[in-house]
Amino acid sequence: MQEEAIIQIRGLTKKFNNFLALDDVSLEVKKGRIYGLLGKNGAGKTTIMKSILGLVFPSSGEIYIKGRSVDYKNKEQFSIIGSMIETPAFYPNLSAKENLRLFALKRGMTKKDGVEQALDLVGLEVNSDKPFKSFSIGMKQRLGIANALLHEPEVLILDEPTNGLDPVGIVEIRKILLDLCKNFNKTIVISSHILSEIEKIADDVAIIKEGKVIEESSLEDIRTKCKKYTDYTVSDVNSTARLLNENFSKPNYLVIDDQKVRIFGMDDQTSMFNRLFIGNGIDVFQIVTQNESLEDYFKKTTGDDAH
Amino acid sequence: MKNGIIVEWRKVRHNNLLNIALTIIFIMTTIVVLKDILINVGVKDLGLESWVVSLGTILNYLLIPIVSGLFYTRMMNSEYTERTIINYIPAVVKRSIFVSSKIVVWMVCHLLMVFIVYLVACIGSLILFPIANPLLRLYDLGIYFLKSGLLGFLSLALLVPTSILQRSSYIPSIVTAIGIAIIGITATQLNGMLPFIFPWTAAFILSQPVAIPDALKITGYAVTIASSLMFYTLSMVIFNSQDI
Repeated sequence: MQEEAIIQIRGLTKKFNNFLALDDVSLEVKKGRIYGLLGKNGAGKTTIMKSILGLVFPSSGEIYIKGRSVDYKNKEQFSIIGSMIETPAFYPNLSAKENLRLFALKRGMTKKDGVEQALDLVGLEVNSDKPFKSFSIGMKQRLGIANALLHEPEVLILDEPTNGLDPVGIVEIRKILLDLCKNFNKTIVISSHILSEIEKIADDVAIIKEGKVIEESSLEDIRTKCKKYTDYTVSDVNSTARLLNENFSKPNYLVIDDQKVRIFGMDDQTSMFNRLFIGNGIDVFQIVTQNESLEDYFKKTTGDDAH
Repeated sequence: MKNGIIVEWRKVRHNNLLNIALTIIFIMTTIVVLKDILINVGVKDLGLESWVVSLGTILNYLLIPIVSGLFYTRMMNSEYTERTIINYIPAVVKRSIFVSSKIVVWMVCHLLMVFIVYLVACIGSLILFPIANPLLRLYDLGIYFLKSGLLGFLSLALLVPTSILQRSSYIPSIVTAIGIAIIGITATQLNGMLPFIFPWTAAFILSQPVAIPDALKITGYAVTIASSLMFYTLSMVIFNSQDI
């Protein structure tokens, strides 16, 4: 059975003056899953999120929320979305509770214990008088998530929620998000430039580069696509690369550093490569066969580090 | 809208900005009034009307526009600098309500500043120009200060689109506030129709207790009200299409 798409983006383009921030972006967020937007800083992840939220107006393209085309004037459509974009921004002199009360009031929320519930959900002390300005980064991120959860939305859009956190903080936020998805059936769109983060949390991934979606797939599919590779530590990488280009029509390899060449696939032919290199005067010091990590796949897909 | 106004009011209450603004206004007004009571002995010869006009000119059209302008600039632009605006706009909140709530709360704060001047002026006037019925004095001065306060507030409307356009920069709206105050004061140097065709000078002239021909009065009010509405509408249009 096909899962219901809660957010769909079709041909989204955004220009800031002459700068093309998003170029024909299409993606689909399925209900009840965690969707990771993966890309380097400035790739366009935040602009995609802001476009969904009506913070940035697309130059062209369509966004659908629950199958209905987005009308930025119809604010009711956005009631199913909670968000935290860029850094968690709150009023510095107010406590967590006071800040959330302001946001609750502004959104016309009438639920009596909504603020307390949201704070409780992210593990923040409800009755603390500590002002926002003296919060740690982790507490700020938690409050940002609590604010996003305040009106009990179906979808959470979180821009780099683990940014600036220490490893313990990252694990805690990850646990909160996984809990929200699993136990509260929230759909979560999360952006990150940290591959390992997305790898540990997301069900589906879109790889963004220079405003374009390079690849959109489930993480499971990407893992399947991650090929085996063999690293050859050699005496001369330039001669090795020349040799591979001369002997194979489309050699699938990467020069890792000045001693290492990575050949994808063909892991059953290490002895053939070994003979070839040695036969052409290239010393082979080490041969290691491994599975390609998501990081390698990301680098290869985005063209970074490719030679 | 009601919730928006409550939220804006709470925000103003929670930071010290309004308290600082009111304290500045109180201190400056008290200094000016005390100077007239203790040093400028010739003030009594000028008469009440001239004294109130000179006080109103210095405080309502020079000090308050600058303090109130800085107050609004801080109120709006801190949303951009602290990025709190991002938390508000994607919520189920209309952008126009966000701006109009700020304008309403700003107007209340502006009138509070005028009220401080009014209170000190009343006390000063009763010392300088004693009267048998102080309530009558309070009423007369109240009408004058309310009128000049409202007109002064409308003349600051240009600040609203300026503060939205400048986003996190403070300089343009500070310059605008100072500019409005200076232009308003130059009204005393202009003759005929000229001061009535600019909202900043018209607001100043109209708030003075002087006889003005009806045609000029109507023009002045129309210009002041229409221009402020135009600036408010313009700010909504700009804000509604602004990428944040």
